[in-house]
Amino acid sequence: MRLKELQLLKYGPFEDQVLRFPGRAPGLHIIFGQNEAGKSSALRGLKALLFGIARNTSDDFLFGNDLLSVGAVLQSDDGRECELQRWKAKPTLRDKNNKALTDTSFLARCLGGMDETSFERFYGLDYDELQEGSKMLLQEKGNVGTSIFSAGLGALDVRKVLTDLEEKAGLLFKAKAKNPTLNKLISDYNQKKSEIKAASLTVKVFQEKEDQYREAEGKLECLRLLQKDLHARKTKLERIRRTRPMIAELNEFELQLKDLGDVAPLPDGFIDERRKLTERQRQLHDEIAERSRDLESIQEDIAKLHLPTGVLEHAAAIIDLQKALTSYVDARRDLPGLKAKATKAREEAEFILKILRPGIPLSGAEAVRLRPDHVARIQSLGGEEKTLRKTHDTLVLEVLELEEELKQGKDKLAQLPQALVTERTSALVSRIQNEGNLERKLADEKEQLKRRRDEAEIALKRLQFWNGTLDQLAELKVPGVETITSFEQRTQLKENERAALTTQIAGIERTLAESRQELVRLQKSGGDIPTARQLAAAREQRESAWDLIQRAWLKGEDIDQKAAAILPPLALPDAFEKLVRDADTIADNRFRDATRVSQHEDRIQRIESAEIELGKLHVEKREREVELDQIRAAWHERWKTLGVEAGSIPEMRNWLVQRNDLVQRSMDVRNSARDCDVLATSIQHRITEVSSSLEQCGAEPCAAGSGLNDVLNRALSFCKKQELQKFERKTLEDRTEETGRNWRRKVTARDCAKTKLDEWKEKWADAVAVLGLRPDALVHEAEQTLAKIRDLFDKLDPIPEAEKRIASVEQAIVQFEKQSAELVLKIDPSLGQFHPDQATEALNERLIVVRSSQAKREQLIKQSDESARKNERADGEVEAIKKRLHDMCDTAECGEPAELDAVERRSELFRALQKKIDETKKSILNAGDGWGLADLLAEPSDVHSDELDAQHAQTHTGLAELEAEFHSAHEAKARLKSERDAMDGKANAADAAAQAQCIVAQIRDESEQYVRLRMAAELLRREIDRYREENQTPLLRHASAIFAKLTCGGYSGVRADLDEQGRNALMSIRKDGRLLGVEGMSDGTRDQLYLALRLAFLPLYLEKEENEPLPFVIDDVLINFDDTRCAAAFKFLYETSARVQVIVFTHHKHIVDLAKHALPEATCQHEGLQTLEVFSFGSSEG
Amino acid sequence: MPKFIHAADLHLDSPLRGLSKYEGAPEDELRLATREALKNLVRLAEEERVDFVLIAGDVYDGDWKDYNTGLFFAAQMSRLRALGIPVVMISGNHDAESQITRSLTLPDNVTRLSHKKPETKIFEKLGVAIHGQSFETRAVTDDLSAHYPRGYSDAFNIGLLHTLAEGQEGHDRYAPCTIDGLCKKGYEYWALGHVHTRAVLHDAEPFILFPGNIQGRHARETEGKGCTVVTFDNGKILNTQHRDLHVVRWTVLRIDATNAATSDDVAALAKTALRDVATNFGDKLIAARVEIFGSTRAHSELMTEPEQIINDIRSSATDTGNGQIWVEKVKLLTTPHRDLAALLNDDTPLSNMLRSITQGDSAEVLSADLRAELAQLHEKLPSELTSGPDPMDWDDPAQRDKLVTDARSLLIPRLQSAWNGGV
Repeated sequence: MRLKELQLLKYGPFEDQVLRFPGRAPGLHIIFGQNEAGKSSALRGLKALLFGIARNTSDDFLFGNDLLSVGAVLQSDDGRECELQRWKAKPTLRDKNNKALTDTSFLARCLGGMDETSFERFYGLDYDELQEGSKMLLQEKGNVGTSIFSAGLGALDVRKVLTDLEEKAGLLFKAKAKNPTLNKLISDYNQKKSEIKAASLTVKVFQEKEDQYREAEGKLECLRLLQKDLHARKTKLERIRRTRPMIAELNEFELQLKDLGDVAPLPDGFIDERRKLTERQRQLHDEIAERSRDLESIQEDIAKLHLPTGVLEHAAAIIDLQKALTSYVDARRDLPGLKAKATKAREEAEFILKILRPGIPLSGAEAVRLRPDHVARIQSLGGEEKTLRKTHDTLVLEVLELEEELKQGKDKLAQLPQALVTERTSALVSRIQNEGNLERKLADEKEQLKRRRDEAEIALKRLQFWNGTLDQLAELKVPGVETITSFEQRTQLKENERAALTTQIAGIERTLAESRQELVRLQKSGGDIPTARQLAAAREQRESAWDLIQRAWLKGEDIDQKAAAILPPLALPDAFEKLVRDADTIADNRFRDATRVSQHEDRIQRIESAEIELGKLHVEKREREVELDQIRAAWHERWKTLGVEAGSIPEMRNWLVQRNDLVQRSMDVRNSARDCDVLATSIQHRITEVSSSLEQCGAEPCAAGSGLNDVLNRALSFCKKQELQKFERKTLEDRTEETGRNWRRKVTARDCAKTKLDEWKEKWADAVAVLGLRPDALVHEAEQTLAKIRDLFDKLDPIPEAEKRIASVEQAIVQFEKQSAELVLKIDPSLGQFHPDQATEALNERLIVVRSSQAKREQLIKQSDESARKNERADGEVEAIKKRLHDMCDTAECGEPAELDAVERRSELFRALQKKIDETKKSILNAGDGWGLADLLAEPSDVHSDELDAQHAQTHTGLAELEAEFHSAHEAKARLKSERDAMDGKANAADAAAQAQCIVAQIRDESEQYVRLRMAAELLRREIDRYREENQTPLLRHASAIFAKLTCGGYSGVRADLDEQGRNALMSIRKDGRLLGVEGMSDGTRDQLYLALRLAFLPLYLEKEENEPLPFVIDDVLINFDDTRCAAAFKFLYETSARVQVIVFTHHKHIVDLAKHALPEATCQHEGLQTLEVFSFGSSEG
Repeated sequence: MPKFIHAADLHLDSPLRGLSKYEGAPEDELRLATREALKNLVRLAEEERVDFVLIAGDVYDGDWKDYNTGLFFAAQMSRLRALGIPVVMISGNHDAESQITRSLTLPDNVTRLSHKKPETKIFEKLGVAIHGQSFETRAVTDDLSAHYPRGYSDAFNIGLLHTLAEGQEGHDRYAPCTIDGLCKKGYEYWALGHVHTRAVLHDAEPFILFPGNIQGRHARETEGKGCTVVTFDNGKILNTQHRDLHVVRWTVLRIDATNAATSDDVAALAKTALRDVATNFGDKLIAARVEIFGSTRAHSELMTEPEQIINDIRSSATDTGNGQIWVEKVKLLTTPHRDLAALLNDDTPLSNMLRSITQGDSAEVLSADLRAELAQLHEKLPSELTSGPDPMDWDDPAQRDKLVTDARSLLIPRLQSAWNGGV
């Protein structure tokens, strides 16, 4: 397939630009453009045409997604043509009439299944790839497999994949390392195994411990029994020591008891009882005598008391009369007041009635009394009157006021003007204001732009080695860091070599000087040293003389002339003799000074070899210097092509940093300028919008040339004024309407109040008629009349009740006086001379006195009775005591109570002895450790008293010894027990085993991953080998031929051969047939080797008939080639272009010139193109 | 009504296998799971007030030598003794191999039936006769049940037998017996042991039952593990009920990643599955194997960065499971999405290369050089990984095929990435 036209319709910076690729053959075409001319866009446009416009393309800065498009005229190998367009918007493929392309088979067949990535890898080659490929060759040391594989797959970085796999595998496992994951895990696992072993308990260990424990237990039991026996013995001895004195005492008491004879002991409590009884008997006798005396005195007191009759008989009547006395006195005091009050009330009532109804007597007053409902009605109506009248009057006034206000409002409204509509203008202004102060923003942007521009200019002026503009600087295709580093490394290498040579030279020169000095010293130290050369010369002279002598003697030749030339000026024999002697002398001297001679010769030899070495080193050093110069020249040349007079490498590194900074600044300036333009346009647009909106509203038009802020302020003030008017009118309308509504409401209310007042008047006339008042009587009058009627009956109504009370008081007085008289008559008529109330008081006093005497008598009688009863009881008790004492005498077997004392004393003595015996026995038992009395009493006989202490001491010692033994046995047992108890089924081993299993699981996972990684690397290597085997021979054949052409015969080709390490490596064949590895090649030559490998696939590809080649696109690949090789490359590409269209992009004019010079028949397309030029070398087919 | 517990295959102190340690895994809680399960059994016996406990063999793990394990077992039996619960047990193949069995003295409530000949233990008050015989050696290949006595006519007869009964697989073929043979003995219940999965072989007259082991120990022993509680009366079985004793439940979560586009999508699916399992079984610990399968777009990402998805899933387990879930393993069983399949059918140089890589015998990949390198690792691996039931053997064709397939899956995305990313 070939491209006949590339139509940059609307793409990147281009609009309707058509690049034409004329000629009969596919041809070689160079697209030339300066920096920023859109070369890269054109290249992307070509790819976009074939494979579609990328979604995130950077070429849409001028035309949006809906316009972005490229087109082309394509021609297939069979000569058919097709014109099509590629759009970003759907349909993406269109025909030349901008209609969707229905039949895409032409393009599909042309592409032959090639996708964009494959296209770039196989049909695209740029400077970066060439550099990377060349670097790869160097790093892989020309490894045939990877080199061919990588170049064959369009610089696929297979090495990176391999390295990655191997690094990952290396992190997992290395045979002789500690840190990789698996090595660590395996070590951890072994550690855990050891832990399991250490924590495991074997059956044997457990059984042994168990047996030891049982044994210790047995021993302890044995000791326990021994200890028990000895303890018992010791206890017995101590017991005997304790009981022996008590047993002696016991025997003594028993003897005393026996001496007392037969005594019948008195029962318990006998003596106490007898003593208590005797004491009680005496006490009772005393009490009886005392009480008899008291009785007599009481009887006398009773006889002395006097109690008169009569008063006590009428005691109840006297008390009743005394109670009524107070009421009687009160009644007599109140009666006159009651009578006067009744009379006054009647008189006042008569007076009021006369005022109300003259002529009616008091007895007819009931006619005037009003029913309560009448009174209530009159009072209610009276209360309503004031409210009704006030409401009515207020409403009448309010209605009048509202009528006036309504009239005024209507008049004012009629005078107000209508407001204009401003909503749209107002919304527009607010939207623009929300965008911020655009004019200030623009000013800021401009200021910033200026500052950036100035700074960039200053920085540009400061930049060394450069005289061009900022834009040119930005477009400059400066060497990459790798190139600089490569130069630097090479320079450094050479400088290092030179420095090493200099050092070597200095060293050798030093040695030389030393050797020379030694030589002089040797010569000075023992005179001249006969050298081997001198000896040889002497001998040679001697042999020549002998030869002459022989010739003279044997052949009779005339030798004089020759002898004169060779021999000393002596007679021949003498001369010969001298020569023989001289030679011998030299030989002898050499023999004698053999050491000095050998030292001397050694020094001479050293000096000679040092001089030779020195010569070589100087040559080498000069070579290095030449190489250094070459590198420097290449460095300067490299920069010169860019128009830069380069400085040193560090300077240029620094220069590059400054340049990058400048490029960035240049971009910033451009962006800033674009931003300013956009902003200015936007401001102008807004001014127009606002002005037209204001005019539409009916406002005055804005003055021409007004700024955005002026226009906005004008619009704002206009809108505000209209808003104010509108607001004022609305307020007035609302207020007037509200007043109207109020007026209507008040009129209705007023009418209603009037009706209610009339109704009241009718009711009032009806109500006051009862009072005897006229219908229009005032409320006040009615109220006064009502009060008077109330007064009348307030006076009249209590009168009957008062009269009833007077009668009852009078009756009570009469009654009391009658009763008093009767009682006086019965008790003491002499009191009749007193007033009834005084007589009553006297009777009452008498009653009180009599009652007191009676109470005292009754108390004395009661006391007398009590004493008599007590004496009776005491007599009984005395008798009982006597009887008991006689019974006790019987018990004590004595006749009279008086004998009891003696009997009691014997009994007490008996009992005391008995008690001591019992107590002693008890003490013996207490001290007897639980043994029986009989055993204890018998026990002391076992041991003689004198031996007791000795035996006790012996037992004590034995026990102490046993105790110690027992203690240690006990400790041993406890220790064994704790050891055995520690074997309690703990889970340490099981725990470690569980952890070991975790590690095993990890090891399995990681091992499998390791194997996978290693296998993946192996698979890739196998694939590389397979590829190499399949392609090596034809590929190297083509590459060899291309390489020879590209190097203009500097190399005759390239082949696979074993390198110094015995690896299969790529070797170039020099002109003289010698092989050179990639490490030995110059950078440029290695670039050419990579290019050759890369291009070698084209013929291979074309050998297959079914493949229709796509255009081969080269982007500034040749810039590092020297002119000759660059021309050679063009020639090769030109040859290739007979079958494959070759399109070369460059921004180097001299590259174009080289091509024009090297190739025939260039046609150039300028017309219709603004920034690019197309040079076509296309009719080589003929 | 009388009640007893039938348990088997305690395998005390046998460690849980396959659990890789990672940050957040509930390691401490899981370590002594078999011991905790036995404690649960004792607790259950107490709660249910059972009349006796039967253990049908394999108390220990055969090659485990720590006597502490025996002491622990004895201590638990002592607890049953304190509760007045007798235990009747037989030795299984593992116990016969174990040194602990021979020397351990058990409390007097435990009766271990003879290994010389069938022995009968009678509980007179309950009217129960328990017939059984222990393994004498590890490999008993005779049908031990053939010599068991016929059931007593006046008793409730139980047969205690460690066996690989007919129809059971996956275990050593020891003391094989037939269901028919067991039925003919005239017993009411056959308490079997040896098979670790619960299985009812005959569900009436007699009941023949494997209760399964009391704690799963690896990803193949999934779901609830425990014992069977049997209630009987008047010579008839009224009820048999499985009761969980396990401390940790093993489970396998299969995640279908067909619709996932990225590793993150797969992680989200796994998180949902983990949340479900935590909701369903949240009362106990869970050891989950996560298997991701399906033809998915995420395949390349999973294969290139397997650590990423594994860490994501473990982290999800820690979050959603509240420390109750241990992700035992994440198995990546996904296959490439059909996009890749289509790519492999293309005729582009990349396709040709990838196709070439996917072809060829796995044995060829294991070249002499690679074999020698891998051998350096193999000889350092723990013996239990290179021998035993599931040894790592790269010469085994099945393992090798799988590894090579994985290696291809791992390599292809890298090459695709290098291709698309350019150099």
